[in-house]
Amino acid sequence: MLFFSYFKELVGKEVTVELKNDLAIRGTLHSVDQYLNIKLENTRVVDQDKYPHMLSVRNCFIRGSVVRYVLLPQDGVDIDILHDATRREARGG
Amino acid sequence: MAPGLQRFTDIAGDGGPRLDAASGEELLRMDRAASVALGRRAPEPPGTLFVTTRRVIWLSETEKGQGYAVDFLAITLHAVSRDLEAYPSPCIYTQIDAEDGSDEEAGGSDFEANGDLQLAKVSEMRIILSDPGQLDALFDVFCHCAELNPDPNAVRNEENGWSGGENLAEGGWIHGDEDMIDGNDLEAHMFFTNLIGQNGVRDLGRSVRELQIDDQRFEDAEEEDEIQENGH
Amino acid sequence: MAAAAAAAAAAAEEEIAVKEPLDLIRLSLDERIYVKLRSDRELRGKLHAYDQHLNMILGDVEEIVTTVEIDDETYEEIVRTTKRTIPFLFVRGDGVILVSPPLRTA
Repeated sequence: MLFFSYFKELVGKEVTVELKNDLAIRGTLHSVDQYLNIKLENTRVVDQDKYPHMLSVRNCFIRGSVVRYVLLPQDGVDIDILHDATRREARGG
Repeated sequence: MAPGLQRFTDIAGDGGPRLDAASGEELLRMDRAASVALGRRAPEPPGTLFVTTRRVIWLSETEKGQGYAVDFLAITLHAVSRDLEAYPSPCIYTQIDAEDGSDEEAGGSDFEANGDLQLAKVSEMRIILSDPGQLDALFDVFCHCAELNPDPNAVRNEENGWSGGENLAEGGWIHGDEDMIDGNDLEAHMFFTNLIGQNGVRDLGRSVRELQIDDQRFEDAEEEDEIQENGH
Repeated sequence: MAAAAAAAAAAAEEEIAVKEPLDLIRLSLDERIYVKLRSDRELRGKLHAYDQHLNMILGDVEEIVTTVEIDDETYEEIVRTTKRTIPFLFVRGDGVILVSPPLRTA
């Protein structure tokens, strides 16, 4: 819940999604669902040596279960809000 | 783990694929004159693409009764590719959860020789439509189907408020009670295994998580971290 | 029997002190932690958010990836580590093997 809400707030910002197969895709976060599946727009592959043929795709849907990391934008992290949300969730709120 | 790409030969009387109606599988979309390209192979001669609530099936026109199928569960990524530098035709690009050791062999020359064995190693598939204008619509159908087919271990985040200790235990967490907090010595070593939850794991042994908390270390954790880093 | 009852009571008390392992992680909020991930990845960073799946957001992250290659000729193991820093990172919990305060010794 916490991260689903968090990512919804992040829609429209640039992120880099790194997959468990090492593919890293940078793009604008278009949407996220409750399984943390991620849709990106205007994407490009960060490591072009490894996946040159995926150079640029317009839309990209990534299954949540293959995500290793999401590199977040500096302005997309409000530490105080995150701490509060985490404590609230931990208390069962 | 869903099997990756498979050969498909289960053809119904009307020439279409026989669907698993018992499990509620329904046809959502059909595209004629569609090609698929597996791994780094050249595209197959055109055939018919069937998108169902459960999987993508492609049947050959030139070799009647032959085709491929892949479950949405195994499609880990899909994208609209229009970059002609990346691939000569606009297409839907997909990545498939394949067996290890995939890429090289899948596109390599031994593909034909090993036939079906190699299909499970195909980690990329492209779908080329006769009308590239339909790619966005097909992309949207794929998104819809991906959401219809969440990972069996996945937990919807919405339904998943924080659960208390007992609920957590029911949720598959096992506590190593013997090693729990000892009143005087606040050092706790806990092992707990996540059996279900969204953390679908192929190898349970590796999913054993160790959580080590040592309150004495907590106070000056930051400092120790620096010492450690300097030590390198 | 009495001993067993006492043990049960003691266990119940422990339950009150720390209901579950994740309560311990809560103590690490806004602190630097060490996270070990699958495929020989290690992270050190400040914990800013987590949930019950051990999904996390870390800040000022240092990632170390260790790869082992076998030399073709000598068959010796060549251990390589690559380091990078990431300002803010969401980590999906299903890759997490271990969470702890920064280790005392490397």
